[in-house]
Amino acid sequence: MLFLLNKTQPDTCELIRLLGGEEEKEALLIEDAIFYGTEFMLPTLREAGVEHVYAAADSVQQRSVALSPECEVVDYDRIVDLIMEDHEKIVCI
Amino acid sequence: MAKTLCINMLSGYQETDDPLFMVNLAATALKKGYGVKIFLYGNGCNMANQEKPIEGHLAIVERLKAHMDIGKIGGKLDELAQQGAQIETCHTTEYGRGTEAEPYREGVKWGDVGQSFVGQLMTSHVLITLSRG
Repeated sequence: MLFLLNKTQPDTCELIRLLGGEEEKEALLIEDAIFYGTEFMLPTLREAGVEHVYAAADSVQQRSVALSPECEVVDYDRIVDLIMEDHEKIVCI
Repeated sequence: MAKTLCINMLSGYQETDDPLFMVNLAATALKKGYGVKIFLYGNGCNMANQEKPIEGHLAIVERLKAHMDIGKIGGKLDELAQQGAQIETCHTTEYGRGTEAEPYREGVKWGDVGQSFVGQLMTSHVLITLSRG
């Protein structure tokens, strides 16, 4: 299951837990949600059960944010693959 | 048959980056051979109409105007439609914003939730919703 996150909000991780259940979870961070990919914020996604985190390259570049090395920075070509081919379920929060 | 991506676009073009993400995602998906359907809903419906000159006193300074204009992605919608994207808007949310019956951009069609959006959902393989709610 891929969670597409475009913003930060207080209940993001709770929603991931609730909606993701026992499924394997990955997150694609775009726009302001890339702040979840910083060293400080990434543990909150991990605690919600997110195993792999992708971050949109243009969103990262526009905000000049230093991400954790555990985040994979991806371009639109890869984002399309993640959304259209690599996951059976996409949940937008 | 190539898969089709449906994007439910609820954000307006001035308040968020969602429309910019939408057009970049849609353009890449089309380039990779996927179908793309876009439903302009809520504040997203403000992208459906042709731009018209502002009449009367314009107080905005050029520098701020240039910044605001970055978010205007109407021309990108025209390009997506020319490349095969199906783009429809919600006339009810237009009515709520006082824009129903104003001329649409080339490639954007009148629509509603019950017929148009349901039609998009029934003929797509993947749905994403971009919103701030």
